Amino acid sequence: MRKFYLLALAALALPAAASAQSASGSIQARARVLGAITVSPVTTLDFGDFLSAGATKTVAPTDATSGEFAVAGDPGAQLLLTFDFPATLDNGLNQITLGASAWNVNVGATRAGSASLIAGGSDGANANSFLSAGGSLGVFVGGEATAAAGLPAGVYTGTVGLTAAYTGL
Amino acid sequence: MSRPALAVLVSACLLAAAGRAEAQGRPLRLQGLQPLNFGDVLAGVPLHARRTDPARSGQFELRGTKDQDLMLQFALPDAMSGPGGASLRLRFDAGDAGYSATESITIQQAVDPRSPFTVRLPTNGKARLFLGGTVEPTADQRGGDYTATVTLTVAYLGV
Repeated sequence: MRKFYLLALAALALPAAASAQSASGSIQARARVLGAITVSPVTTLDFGDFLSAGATKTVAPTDATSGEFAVAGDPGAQLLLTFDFPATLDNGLNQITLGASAWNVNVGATRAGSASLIAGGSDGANANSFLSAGGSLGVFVGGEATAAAGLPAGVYTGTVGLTAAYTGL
Repeated sequence: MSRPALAVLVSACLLAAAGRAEAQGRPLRLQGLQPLNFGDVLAGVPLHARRTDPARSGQFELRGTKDQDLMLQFALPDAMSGPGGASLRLRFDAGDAGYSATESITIQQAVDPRSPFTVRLPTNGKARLFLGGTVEPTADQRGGDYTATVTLTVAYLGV
C-alpha cells in the first residue's frame, strides 16, 4: 500500500517540472520622427519701379529680384508646397494688378541653379518637391504686374503665402 | 481507500504525468517575427499603430505543446531612444495586444499587454501574438530614427 502512495505522489510532482519551462523573445519598436518644417522669407519679390502708365513688368524665378523662401525640414522628405498668391499690390485703395495665371516658381539650392516647379500657376497652386539631403529647399517666386494709367506714385505691396506639409514620402 | 481504487488513481496520475512529460519534451519557442513599426511620425502628432495593422503591428510566433495553458508577460518600454539621446514617449493601452490561435491577424483575442495574461495553445501547438501601441512625440520632438526593445516571456502553466 505504501508503494502505491509513493508512486502517486511522484506523479503529482511532475507538473511542477513541466511548468518551469519558459521562453522569451524580443522585437524592436521603431519610429522615424520627421523634423518640424520651417518656412522663412528670405527676399521680397520686387517688380521695381513703374515709370510709364500701363506698363507690365515680369520677374522670373531666376531673376535677382524674385521672391525667395527658405524651407527646412527632415532631410530627403517630400513636401507639398501650396501657394497663396495675391491678386493685387495695394497702396491704400489704389492697386497694381498681378497676372492671375502668371506665377512661376522654381526650387533648388540657388536661384541660378533652380528648376521649374510651377509654370503659369494661379492662386492655390501646389506641387511636390523634396528637401535636400541637408534638409533644406530654396523656393523662388516670380510673377507679372501691370500698373494701370493714372495710379498715384507710391509703394504698392502684397503678400505671397507658402505652406509646406510632409507628404509621407 | 481500496487497492483497486488506489490503482485507478495511480494510473490516472501517471497518464497525466505522461501528458506533462510531453510538454517537457517540446520546449516552448517564442520568436519575434516583425517589429512594431510606427513609420514616419510628425512632431506633436500622436500616432496609434493598431495590432491589426499588417504593416505596423509587432508580431511574435509561439510554438509549444498543444492544448497547454500558458502565461505570457510583456516587458514594455515607455519610451524609444533616438538621436543624441532624445527620447520618444511610447504608450500601451488595454487591448493593444492580441492573441491568435489561428495565427491570423484578422482573428485575434484582445489582451492587455500591461499585465500578465493566460492563453491556451491550439491543437497544432502554434499561435501568434500581435502588439500595437501609441507614440506621443512632443511639438519640438527631435527628428530622426527612434528604437526600443519589446520583450515577451512565456511559460507553461501547471495543469
